[in-house]
Amino acid sequence: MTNKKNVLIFLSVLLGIFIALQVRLVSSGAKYMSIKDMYAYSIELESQKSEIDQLNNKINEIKSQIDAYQTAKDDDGIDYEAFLMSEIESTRKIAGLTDLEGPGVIIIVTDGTRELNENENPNNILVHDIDIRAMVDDLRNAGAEAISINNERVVFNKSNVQCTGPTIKVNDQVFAPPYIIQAIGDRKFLESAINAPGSYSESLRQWGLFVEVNTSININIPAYDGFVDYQYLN
Amino acid sequence: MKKDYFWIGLACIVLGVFIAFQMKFIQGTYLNGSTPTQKTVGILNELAAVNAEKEQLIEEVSRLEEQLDDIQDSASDENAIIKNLTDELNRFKSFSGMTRVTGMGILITIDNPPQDVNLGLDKNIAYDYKLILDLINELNSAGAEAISINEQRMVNNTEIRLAGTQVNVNTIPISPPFIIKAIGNSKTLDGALNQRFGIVQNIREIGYYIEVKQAETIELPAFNGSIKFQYANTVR
Repeated sequence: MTNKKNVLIFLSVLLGIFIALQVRLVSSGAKYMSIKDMYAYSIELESQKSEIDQLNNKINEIKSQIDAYQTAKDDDGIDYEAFLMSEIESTRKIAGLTDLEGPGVIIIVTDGTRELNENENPNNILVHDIDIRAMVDDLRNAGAEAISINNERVVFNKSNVQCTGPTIKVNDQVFAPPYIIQAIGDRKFLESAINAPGSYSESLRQWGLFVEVNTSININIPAYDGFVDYQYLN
Repeated sequence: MKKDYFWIGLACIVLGVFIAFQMKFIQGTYLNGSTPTQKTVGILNELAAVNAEKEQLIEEVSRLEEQLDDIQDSASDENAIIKNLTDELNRFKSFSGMTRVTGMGILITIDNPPQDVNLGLDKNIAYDYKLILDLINELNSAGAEAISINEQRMVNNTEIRLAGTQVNVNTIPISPPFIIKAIGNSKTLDGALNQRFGIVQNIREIGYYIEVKQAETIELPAFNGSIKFQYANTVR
């Protein structure tokens, strides 16, 4: 009997300690957060921090631009018109409106030639618009500076790669396989973006499609030729 | 009888070891060694501080941009050729996504479904980032003039990339909910997405939450990164 009493006393003391801890916790302003929420918060923190880095870079860039404009305007030795012309040229380059050349890769993608298995869907060995899009995305991630598909420049806000039955439409031009994707950038990075295990192209190869990458020291990529003024933008 | 006690004792020891392991693991991987409550308070404070800093930086960017505009305006007052050139520059700038823009458009919200406790499966739209690629492509073919995801403007070099459990856009990690804004004819954009068997239906059937709203005016940020060409040269 005394044994049971002792246990009861011990448990009461324990309960008392827990209550005291809980009260302290709540009054200190701590909130309960599940591990999952905490993980989500730490990801958000990371993302905010990298955004801050980006903004800091941008601020430095604008500051140097202000300096450049100010000196071009005040200094009589610098022709302001010529300065503007060179600014226009570099903006056109960023916008994808100039012909570019440089080292890079040439990728050839075409439908698979293997025999189909019994009852297999022929779509398994055909190139689809999503395949091309995913490869372009892989190339961008590897730092491609300019990309073209069958000599049509890929520009983000205007180019769409659309399935049109047996063919694919890029910039309103229709192409049939083989598709030739060219990209300017670091040759090693671009090549491994296509050849690396786990890349999208690797899974295409496993389905039986033909994907070939060649590096080249000089690739020509044409300008995007559909420049128009926007209608809805202000 | 005595043998039973032995086994119960052994089971308790094993259980104790497991619990200790679990605690250590959680503390090591998610909490970096601190207790949960310390970490919670710390993370919330830090988040608030970082948010405030970001707001401040955005303000500074717009202040500096105004300063730059003033310089350009005062220069174009001097003669008409400079004015024309400045206008030309601004046209190309807005085409390449370097300016903040407003206009008529649509707002798309994509989020993960609430966690299914029974199955214990986590569906994460980040793993299906190709659906987002598809969505962006549909927007482009419906004539969108500017697109942003979670305040990251899409430009020529923008990648959408799975990295861990989030998605990198312009190298900034973002996580669901994804808020995609697009400027263009809002009826056309909305119609193209909501077509039967279209992309919205597709995403919904896979189990994600998606909502499309038309908006009279919508504001998109400028591209905040910098594009530098190391390899590509202009052909003359």
